[in-house]
Amino acid sequence: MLDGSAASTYTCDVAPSPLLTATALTVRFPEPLTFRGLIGRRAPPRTVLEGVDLTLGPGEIVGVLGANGGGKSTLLRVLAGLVAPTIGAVEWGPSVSAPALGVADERSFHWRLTVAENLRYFAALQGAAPAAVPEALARVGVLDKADVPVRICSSGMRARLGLARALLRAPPVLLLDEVERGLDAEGRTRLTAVLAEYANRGRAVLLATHDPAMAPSMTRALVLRGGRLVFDGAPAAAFEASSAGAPT
Amino acid sequence: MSLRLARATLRRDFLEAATYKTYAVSRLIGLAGLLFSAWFVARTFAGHEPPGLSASGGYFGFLIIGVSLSDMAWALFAGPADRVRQAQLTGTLEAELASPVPVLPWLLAQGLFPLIGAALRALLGATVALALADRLPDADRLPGLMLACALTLLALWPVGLLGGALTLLLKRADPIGRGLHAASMLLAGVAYPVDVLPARLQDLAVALPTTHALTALREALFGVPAAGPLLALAAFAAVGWMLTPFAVRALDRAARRRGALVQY
Repeated sequence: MLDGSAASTYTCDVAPSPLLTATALTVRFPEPLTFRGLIGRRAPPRTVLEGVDLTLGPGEIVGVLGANGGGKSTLLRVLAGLVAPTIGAVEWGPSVSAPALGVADERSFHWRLTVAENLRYFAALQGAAPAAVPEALARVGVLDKADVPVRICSSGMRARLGLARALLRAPPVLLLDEVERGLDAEGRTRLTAVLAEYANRGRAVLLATHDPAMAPSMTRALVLRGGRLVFDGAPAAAFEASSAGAPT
Repeated sequence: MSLRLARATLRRDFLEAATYKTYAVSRLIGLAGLLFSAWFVARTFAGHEPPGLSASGGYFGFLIIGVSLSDMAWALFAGPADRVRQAQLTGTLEAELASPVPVLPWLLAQGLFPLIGAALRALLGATVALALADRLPDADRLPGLMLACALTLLALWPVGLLGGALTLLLKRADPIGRGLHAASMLLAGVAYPVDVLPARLQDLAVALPTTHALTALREALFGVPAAGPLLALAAFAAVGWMLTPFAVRALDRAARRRGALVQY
């Protein structure tokens, strides 16, 4: 159902098992080796996530908020498997083989190729059926741009393409990193519709964002500050906490 | 590596190369330039060649095989690392590795296009050069030649995979592939026979897979094929393919721990 209505209409008689349980996620990156580090003491590792606990149930659309450098993107990348946590563990529910990471980063495409060629390549990487390509393009409203090289697409188009790439495999869990950035009104409506559809089908989305306009699409929201989880609750309160200084 | 992944990556690289209108022409011009240079260098030394080289098709044949293998060795040694670095710089690496495909098949697929390109250039260059020099091998040498080529591929490719995985971690340097290629240019018998090297350097040359690959290819083309170089290549391949998957997995794990896949 792609009607863009409220997200949380998924119901279940028995308590559903979570799609994701993350426990005490801590990420420390070693500082790059410098000449000074070679002859003296190396700088201590930089902590970017500290003891983050998180569960994600079926039908949940969870916002991840926080100032720049708060650890939002790192959290998504840990869950996507791109970063291994220094401490802690990520456990996926039995129905989740692998989550999909959606990024609006314009540089994450092969610019010399067309929109469809890019998605065909990523579909092969993800093990998605070739038929998923036109379907995903249609869902984000860029099917008519399939033969346009990515290098001449607008940033909004590329943001839609980032979302389409995440949808190729129809994964049970979507990890979206600021995909609403650069989207026009129609693009946002489509994003909202995708989120609602995910909730209605008992899947889940973790959405890192700075945009309060996304709050109505969320079932709850987290606030990260300095890599620590400082708030977990209602989206409207989370946006307030994020902008004003979260309660601890 | 799944066939679909290999096909999709080859298609991606081909389409990307095809958007550069002069790509194929510039590669052909480069190849022609190389052939002419080799021809004139060989003419410079005509009549002064060491006696051993006549069995290698004269100095021209010797040099053409050396240069062709050197191009192939570069594609095998440095191809995956170059592709990884390119993906880091253009920003596609994170999106590609966020997919469920394991790193080893992904690295294998990354190296295919440069490898096929180098193989076609080597085949074309060597065929044209040997035809001009009237030294084309008889058809009955083809099975031996194909065996030498296959073993060369198997012996050299693990080095490139290791270099690619190292680039994931270090983000810039690929000391393995580039170092081995530089050592091969110096010691393996690309432009001059290994015999002219001092004894200690000859001992070092034996430790390079490219030395055995060049010997095997030249023997398969012009001389009496011997089992020694082929067995050495098989040994390099066996050790390489046994160790590389473990090493690539370890480097991949280290890269994910250090955040190297998301911070270029």
